[in-house]
Amino acid sequence: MINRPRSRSWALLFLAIIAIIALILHESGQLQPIEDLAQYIIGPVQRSINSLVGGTADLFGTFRDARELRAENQQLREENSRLITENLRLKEFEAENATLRDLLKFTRNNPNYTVLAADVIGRDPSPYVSTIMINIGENRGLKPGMPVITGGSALVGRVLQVNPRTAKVQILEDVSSAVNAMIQGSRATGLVRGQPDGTLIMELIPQEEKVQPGDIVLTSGLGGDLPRALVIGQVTEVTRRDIDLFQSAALRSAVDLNRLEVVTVIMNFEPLSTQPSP
Amino acid sequence: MSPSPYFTIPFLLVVAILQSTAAPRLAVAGARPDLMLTSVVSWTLLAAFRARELEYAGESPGLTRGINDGVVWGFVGGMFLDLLSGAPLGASALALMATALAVGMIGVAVASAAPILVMLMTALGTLLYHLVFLLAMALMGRPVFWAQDVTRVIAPSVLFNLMLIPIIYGLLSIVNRQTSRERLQW
Repeated sequence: MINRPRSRSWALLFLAIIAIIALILHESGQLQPIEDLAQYIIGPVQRSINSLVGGTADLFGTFRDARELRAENQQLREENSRLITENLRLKEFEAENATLRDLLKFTRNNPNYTVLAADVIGRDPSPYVSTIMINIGENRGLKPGMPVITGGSALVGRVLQVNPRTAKVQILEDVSSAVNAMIQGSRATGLVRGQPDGTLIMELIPQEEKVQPGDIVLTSGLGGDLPRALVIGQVTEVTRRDIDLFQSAALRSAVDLNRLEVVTVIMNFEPLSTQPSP
Repeated sequence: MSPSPYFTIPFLLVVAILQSTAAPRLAVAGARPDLMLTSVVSWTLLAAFRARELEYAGESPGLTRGINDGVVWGFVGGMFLDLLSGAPLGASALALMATALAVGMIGVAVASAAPILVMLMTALGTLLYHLVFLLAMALMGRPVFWAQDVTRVIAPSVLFNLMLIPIIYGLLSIVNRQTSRERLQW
């Protein structure tokens, strides 16, 4: 009986000494293999227990926070919906930005021109006439005959009729449209006309001129109705017969004239003829 | 029988705007749905059939009234189209009035609301409308490519309008019944 406290004291002292030795050995790094082994065995158990305890805690938390989570979920759905809408708006802004960059580029390259951007608000209801309606008119100083471009310097057509707040633009593919043009490389001149099927044909090209698919067609400026060097399109096919005085070429328009959304009007170009082709 | 101008004018204006905004996006080759033409043909037939019914009942305002309604729709709708178009002002109005006149005269003579008649009148109306429109364009000095326009625009337009007419005719039948009821109540 008398020895029990003494033996416990010795045991405690022994454990304390072991602890101190372990502390010293740990500090010197000599216990590392043992520690690694212990961790190897204990680690998985620890993770399992931790996840179990954590899961249980989460379960309690789920019950406790169900209402908060539903509210948060609803909030996130709304946020998601808002971000989708904003993303769509940003895509629209991106497209508009590209158009405005083209406009800026054109303005920098042609500092003498004053230009004004306009939205396309309608197309001709008749299948026999190719015009578009834009959302600026007399209120912004538009006049018949003014050149209309898009995508930098691609020709769309000319202002046909001006109303107080809108204007009709005769586009290149209208069967009444005729534009003096030239081939960029050879400088061969001709006349670009709209066709009933919506395509463009460059007529009256002198026979001796060399024209080939891929050539770029620009406005020639002849006649003074349009500025020089606006892009009309690209030659896709050449028709040349020895019995004809002239050759002709089918063109692909530089822009999809049926999908125009924004155009630019050159405001300070004074056409010699104020009316486009009737 | 005649709907109020408070209905007719806004309705035809909306149809004209749809014709210049939505219809070109639905174009196949050169053809596109003729919303205004099918509206005018539908209303002309409905007015003509109603006039004949009243004639039988002995309370007709006159058979010409049945035709007049369609012609008035043709004029108003055509002018709205012309205002939105680069075509000569009055070309669509003239073409639609001629179409309404022809369809209305046949409508009061036949006086049968059989679907086959509506389809036949739509095909006939489409042909007549396009031919009168092109004639007006040619008379005004605009280039007209008759052969190409018949194959590229008119023939597909007939098919387009035959598909469209059941919807337009059905909707306007409801309006026609409603306005006839209102008239009786007055």
